[in-house]
Amino acid sequence: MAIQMAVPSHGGETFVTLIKDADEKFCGPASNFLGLKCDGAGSMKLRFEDVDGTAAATVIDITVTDSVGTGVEMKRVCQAIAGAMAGHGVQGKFVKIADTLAGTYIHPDLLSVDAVA
Amino acid sequence: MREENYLYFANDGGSDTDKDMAMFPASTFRGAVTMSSTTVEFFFAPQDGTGTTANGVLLTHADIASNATDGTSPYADDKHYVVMEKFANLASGNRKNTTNFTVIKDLNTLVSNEGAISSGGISEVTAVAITID
Repeated sequence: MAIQMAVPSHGGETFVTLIKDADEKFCGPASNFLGLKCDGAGSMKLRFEDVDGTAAATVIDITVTDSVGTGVEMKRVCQAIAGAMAGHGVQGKFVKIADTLAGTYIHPDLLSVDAVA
Repeated sequence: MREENYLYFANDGGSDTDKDMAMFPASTFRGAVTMSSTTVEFFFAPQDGTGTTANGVLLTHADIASNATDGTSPYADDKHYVVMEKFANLASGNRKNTTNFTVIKDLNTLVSNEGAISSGGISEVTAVAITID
């Protein structure tokens, strides 16, 4: 008799959360992360596979410190996001990257979540 | 879920304009193609989620011909090969003793003594051009 194994859809997965305000929030598996890019001085766009299954991306705009002029603050935020995506063991498996509503962020150079679309 | 490795690219613009910098999960890497004697482009699954037109990072390096030890064979010191090999080493997810944030190339002025933040990446690369639709 075959035994049906229960396989969670995202077993061992890390979930990340970004919150703009009470009405605009994102939570999704780190494995759905498509990448990020600089969108201008102090501005970054993070993209995740769209949660509604369409061939598009969920786009999250964030603001970071831009005072040195070498992009090092953005680089530090990227490193922090990469660390948050790993999640296992240190940060746990539900990681809040940024919460503008509560004013809490994983890195001091991450200043706000500006849009979740 | 296997451990992901995140690959960081930045030109020398100080991350002040669109696409001065990008970070891709290594698992979205599709392949690399030589575009000229001085350039290699690394392609990734598009960040727009459509899965169609790839995002590209064009890396410039010294001309392969100028590096030939005998002046005729470009493979003698092929910068295409060197850059691709170093990328493969950096992007590999089997490097258990490193962090998952990997600088492939950062052409900006670097700070000191901050680990991966201080890394400039592949030394042979002299320019970075990022294409994300």
